[in-house]
Amino acid sequence: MSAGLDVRPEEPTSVAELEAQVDSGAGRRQDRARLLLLVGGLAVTVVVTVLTLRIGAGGISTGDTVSTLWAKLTGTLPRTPEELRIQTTVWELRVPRAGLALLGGAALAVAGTLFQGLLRNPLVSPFTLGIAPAAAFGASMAILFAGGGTSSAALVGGALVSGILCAVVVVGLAATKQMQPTTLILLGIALTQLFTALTAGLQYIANEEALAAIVRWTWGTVNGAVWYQVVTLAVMLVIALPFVQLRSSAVNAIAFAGDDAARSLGVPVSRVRLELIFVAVLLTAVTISFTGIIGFVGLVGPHIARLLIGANHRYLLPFSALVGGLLLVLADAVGRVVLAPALVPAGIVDALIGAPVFLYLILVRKKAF
Amino acid sequence: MSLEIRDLEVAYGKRTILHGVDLTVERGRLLGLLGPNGSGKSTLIKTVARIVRARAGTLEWEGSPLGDLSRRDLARVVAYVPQSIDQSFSLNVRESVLLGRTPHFGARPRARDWERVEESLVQLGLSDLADRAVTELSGGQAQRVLIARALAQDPEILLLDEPTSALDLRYQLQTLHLAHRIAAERGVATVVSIHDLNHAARFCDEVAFLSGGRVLAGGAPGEVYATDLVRDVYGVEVDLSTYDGFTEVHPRIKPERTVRRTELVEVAS
Amino acid sequence: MSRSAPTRSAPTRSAPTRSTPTRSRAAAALVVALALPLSACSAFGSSGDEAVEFEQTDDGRSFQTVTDELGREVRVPDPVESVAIGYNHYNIELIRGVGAGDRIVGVAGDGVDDAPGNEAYWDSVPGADTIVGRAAEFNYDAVVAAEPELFVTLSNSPYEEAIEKLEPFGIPVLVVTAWEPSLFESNVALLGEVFGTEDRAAEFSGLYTEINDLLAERLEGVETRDVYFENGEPNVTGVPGSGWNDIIELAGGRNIFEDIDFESGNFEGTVHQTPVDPADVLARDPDLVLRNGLDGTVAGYEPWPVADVAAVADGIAARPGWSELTAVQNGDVFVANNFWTSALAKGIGALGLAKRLHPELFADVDTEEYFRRWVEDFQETPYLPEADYVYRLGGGETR
Repeated sequence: MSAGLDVRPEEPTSVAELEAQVDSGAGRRQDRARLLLLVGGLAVTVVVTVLTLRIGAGGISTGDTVSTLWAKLTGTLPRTPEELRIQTTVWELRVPRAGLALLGGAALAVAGTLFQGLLRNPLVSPFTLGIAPAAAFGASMAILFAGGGTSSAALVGGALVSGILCAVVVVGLAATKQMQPTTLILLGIALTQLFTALTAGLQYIANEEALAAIVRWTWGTVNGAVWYQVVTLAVMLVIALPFVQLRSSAVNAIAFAGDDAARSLGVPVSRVRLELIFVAVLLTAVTISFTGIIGFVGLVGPHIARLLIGANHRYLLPFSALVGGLLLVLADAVGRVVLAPALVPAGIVDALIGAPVFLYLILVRKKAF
Repeated sequence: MSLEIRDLEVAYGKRTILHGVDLTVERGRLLGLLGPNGSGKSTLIKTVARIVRARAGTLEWEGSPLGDLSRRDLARVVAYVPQSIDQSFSLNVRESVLLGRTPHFGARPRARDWERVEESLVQLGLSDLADRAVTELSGGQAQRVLIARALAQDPEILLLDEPTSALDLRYQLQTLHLAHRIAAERGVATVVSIHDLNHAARFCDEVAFLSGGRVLAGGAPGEVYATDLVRDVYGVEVDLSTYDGFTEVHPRIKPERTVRRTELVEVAS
Repeated sequence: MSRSAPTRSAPTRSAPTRSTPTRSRAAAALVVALALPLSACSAFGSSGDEAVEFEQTDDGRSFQTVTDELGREVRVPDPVESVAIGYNHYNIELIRGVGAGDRIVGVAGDGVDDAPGNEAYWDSVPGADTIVGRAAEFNYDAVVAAEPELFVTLSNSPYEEAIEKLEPFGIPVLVVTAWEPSLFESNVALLGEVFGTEDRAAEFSGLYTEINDLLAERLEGVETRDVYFENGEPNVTGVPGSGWNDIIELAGGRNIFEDIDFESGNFEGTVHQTPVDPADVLARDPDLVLRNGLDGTVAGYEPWPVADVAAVADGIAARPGWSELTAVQNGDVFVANNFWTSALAKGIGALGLAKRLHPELFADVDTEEYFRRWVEDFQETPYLPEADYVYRLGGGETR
């Protein structure tokens, strides 16, 4: 029907030729490679985390930490005071902080990956909706008016409630505009400003003690990690990660095909965005209510993961969890070593390393991420 | 064996875009949707793909209402090719095409899904580019990726939303040629919205003119194209002729109102 | 060339396969509902069922329950043989003051290893080399490794966190806000009880009481003299609510900025560091100026070079218009080292200021003796003359 058109792409002329050209194994091979990387990453994360357990005063070696873990696993009780000291130190001091760093970092990175994919924006983080300043405000309120100490229930509760409330407001308002990414981001910016100003106001009226406590909270640390925090995050991740993983193809569609095309691919875009933002917000708010504000893991973790394993969320989501967890574990380890016996809070180390890394990523990228 | 659109009314809030559209698209045929900006071409296409909800009217495929299908099931019938991709991140070409299998695979892609992807890549000549990031491709290549993705969906209805607006001449022709071949060879009811009347005449089996949210005329280009129709739809005076068996449209340009004398000389010759 | 179209099945019209939104939200709510109560039951390592325990029940030690300034009841060995201090060096002074300085096994770095001028000051404390925390961040590993029987820290530090983290090791936590003068006597008594050094503690707080009684007695009904207190940098003062203001009032002085009330108005800074307009100082014409600290120099046991101190004093007197101030004309401009000013819960500073404000009222009192007793008897450190810590404009002696 169309005359003299020689711009067609090359085309096989028979079914046999078609089959000869089709290499349906290529995609699966790539997937298998990614799966291997994922498993490898898990192994590395676990090994490195266990290795960091030996950092700290008290002359505890890696052998000590491993035998403690084994003893706890098998229910063996310590027989000498020395063993007791070692086991208690490892189990009550080292493991909770490593656990909080690992799980908190994983939670923040997964939340970051979700935000970046759902909002189709590589520069967003879990704090885009204003959760961090809102949580800081809640924590400040608790410190000022509820006499909240650093890891008291009031403090954790204040930060959690405030952070979630802010996210609910942002998401609720955005839902009136079909949850468009731009709307979410702009609302997040507005609420960030609001809560930052409110917190500054609180700092203005705070006395020195409270002020110091507020500032300390914003640094972000796992120094006060206690077991209930680790357990809480573990339970949340055990439920959230599979939930999120099942929707990874929906996230792919939203992130790479755009809202319209994703809908045409059968993805209920607004609903998926709402669900997953809810999960991301919960992960973020709970984590920072335990640790204070830890900034760059949620932003840089997903990018590093993407560089290594690619942008396909089926692999990116779990890999971000590993990268984020490892980053925070390492940040805490560095903070414990670099100025020992003083402890540099993990959130500060994280920001000091994360900011240049982020700058580097921005400058080095080609056309897009 | 067709897509029947009856009395379709679509509104965004208070603004009604489509005022009762009637249209039929036959299986295996390429329908060109013509009309000025704002006439509702994109809205019509998005409504068929259920990206936008209709306020009234019916959509039927082979006698059954499309509205009865779940979103996912609908995605196995209707494929939508957007105008462009919003690319902040990028998958490689192969994974991009795999997105088209989303309504088909459950927890993870299976062998069958990968096979369809690879077939689509071959058919669209993308095999060599399969591992490249989509952001690195030219406009025409990226367009082919979008079409390959839609094909991988194994659709029975294929909708292309202004696929040629951002392409140069070569790729415009290539895309339309492809759309026609897909319709003819795979028996897919294909709709493409398009601005160029001549391209539409050359490649489409049928055309429909949308204006102000209504279909003003529909049918084979040779039968439907008329000077007063074009005047009503576009507000442009044209002359019609036949070239190589296809109807062609020549806009009549009034020199005093639109162009300067010197430019007119080049245009006229 | 055409290919046959691949076969396809008719679209299914089964029931919706996606989970409804409410299910996902319910699942999420379940997460939170589960996680929080789960936290309460720690499934891990409760010290109850271990073969060896951290409770010091073996060698027949006895225990006592004491109440700290927050009203917390704390069970401690009777007496405590080793203590680690999480924050800060004021607590070292207090514990050393009650005679338990040699039982300190770990300290906070603040004021210890970050203040070279204090290096010699902590010589009598064996644990001064063991840093267990800094800037109110406790290094629990280090605390535990130092094996203290007790952990002491200020109220403006994360003590709740410490309680929780040290509990598995059987280390109780005592909150002692050592820098708060109003709590000085009760805290000293508490520490005496804790360390079994009640007599010594009584002497220690007795020193403080003596000073307060002396001041109250001698200054009753005396007309106050105006004081401008400058806190470490130009044009920064202390106002009601801060210990600096208290010193002035105790010493029979009147803070020329006593009208700045943080409760009622908006003011910059804090009660301890309130920026003021130098013109105001001129207008209010104080009788005496007390500058506590050199710009940017950390106070400490080690006296500052006289030349530096003199330079600051001269600089103050040379400020525009200041030559007209009563204080400058009388030479009553003093530059002090906080080591002296804040000694003995600011009692030494109050007494010293009183002597300089009302020299005739204290002519027979050897105020320096109190300082010497503080440094030598209670802080177990070689005494250096008071003049090394308080400089009068022109270098002369106090009248």
